[in-house]
Amino acid sequence: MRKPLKTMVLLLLMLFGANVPCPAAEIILVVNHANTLTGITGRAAALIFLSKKTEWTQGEHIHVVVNNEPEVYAAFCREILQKTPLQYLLYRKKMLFNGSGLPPLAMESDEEVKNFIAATRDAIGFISKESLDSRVKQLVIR
Amino acid sequence: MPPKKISTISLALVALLPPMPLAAFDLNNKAALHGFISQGYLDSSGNNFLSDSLDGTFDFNEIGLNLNLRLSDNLRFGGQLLSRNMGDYGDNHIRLDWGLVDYRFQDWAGVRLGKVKIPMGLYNTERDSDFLRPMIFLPQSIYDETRRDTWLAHWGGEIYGNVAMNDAFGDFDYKLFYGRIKYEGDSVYHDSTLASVNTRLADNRQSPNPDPLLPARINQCDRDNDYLYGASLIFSPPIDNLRLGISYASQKDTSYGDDEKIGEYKTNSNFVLSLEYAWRDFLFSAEYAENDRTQTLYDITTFDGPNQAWYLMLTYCATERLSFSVVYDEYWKDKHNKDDAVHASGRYNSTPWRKDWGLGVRYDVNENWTVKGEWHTVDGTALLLDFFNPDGTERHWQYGAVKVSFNF
Repeated sequence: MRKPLKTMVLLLLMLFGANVPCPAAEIILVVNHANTLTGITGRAAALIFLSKKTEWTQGEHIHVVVNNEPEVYAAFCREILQKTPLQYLLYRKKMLFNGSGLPPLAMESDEEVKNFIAATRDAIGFISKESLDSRVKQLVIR
Repeated sequence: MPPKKISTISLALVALLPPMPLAAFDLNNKAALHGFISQGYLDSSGNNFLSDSLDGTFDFNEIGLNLNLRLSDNLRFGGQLLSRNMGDYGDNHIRLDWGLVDYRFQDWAGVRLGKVKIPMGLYNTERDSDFLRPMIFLPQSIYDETRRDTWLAHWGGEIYGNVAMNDAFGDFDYKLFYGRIKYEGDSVYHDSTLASVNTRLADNRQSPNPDPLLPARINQCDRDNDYLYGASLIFSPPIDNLRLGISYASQKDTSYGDDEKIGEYKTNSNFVLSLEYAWRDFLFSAEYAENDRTQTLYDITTFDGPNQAWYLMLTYCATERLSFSVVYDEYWKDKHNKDDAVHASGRYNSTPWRKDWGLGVRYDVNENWTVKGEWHTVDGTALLLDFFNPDGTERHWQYGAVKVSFNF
């Protein structure tokens, strides 16, 4: 690549904040210990986080929480929803602005998500695998 | 610059550059207050598009504020106020964009009552929120901006739900709706109807055998919607990020001129077939539509037949924040009459088609700010309104726009 062109490309990448690939976080789904489910398909998980499936099998309302911690959020979007982080953000905003519903609750860290799920019987969320502790139960993705 | 333009731009800038960051209000997912504001600039060459755009215009903005209250796991109240300006229309009057009570019995069955968005095509329900789509203008063949005042929401209700089958078959989102459209007296649609009626009356006056019973012209025009009903079905097969849709609507309107009934407008069938697929950094969408309608004025059928509309749009996300889009959009006023260019009414129109190539760029500064720009080159004058171009139209023309949006 000729130097001026290379410089221009680098400047554009800096200007527009290109995403530099970074190690992806390993994420897991977590639920309250009172939840009898042990596993769920990836498709069912996607339906829950897209607000298409709102009830557990026994009929209880699912309380969904989205984890906004950047690496965890990005990994969840790509692995479970097969969407980019921006696509999922716009999907949730669309619900809000076209009158079709309230999007899932959003929290800023693994800690917040774990505390919420520990206190909410029918909740589901996602965290990084390394932060799993006894407050919540992992839901295996089959 | 006229004072109105200055005040519009100033107000928009003040709102766009708040001294302190605005924050959405969310109360544990029980109540949520959100909003948006956008300010654009529209310019064109050859023809005026939606406004006096040949001179360039900043009269191009939207401001919205919505409140949602979740009263129980299944019951929700919500509404959005909208103020918009597009050239001489809207004038930033505040109106209800949507407002409804929503009760979801099961995932597969819920009901919404009130002012509800019309689910035609993939994107009609989100047209007021600029930041939700890749380009500033949705393809005009299907999402005609001149109909935006009247074709976004209806007063009535819809039954909706999601039917999820097993993982091998995917899921369906469906909506069945019934209601009425309220035509505002200050809408583009209202004024274009008035202009169309008076053109018809002028034709009568100048014909060899004019009907003496018809008035020379009318000064006031009203349009009532007798009914609107339809359905929408979106199928998400077990292929990630693929959506296939079909939507259908039928409506009947009665037109009044100076308080006398003068005609009817009926859509016999109006359907849109939709496809959207996101693959890696690409988003592809395509839609095909036909609207078979019959219009009568003073007992003369002025139009009877289907139009034809379709587009292809490809968006490439170069980075998480930066995307580029290209669109080809084609519209025919009469599907069965493409060659001789003569309308059913007998009125000659050299270009009853519209073929639009557009290029757009979108940059998301962060989660709240979006900047977009685009440029279009068009062959054809269909969908252009005469009263924006009283001196005639040019077949080949261009338009472009830039827009800044903030949402919270």
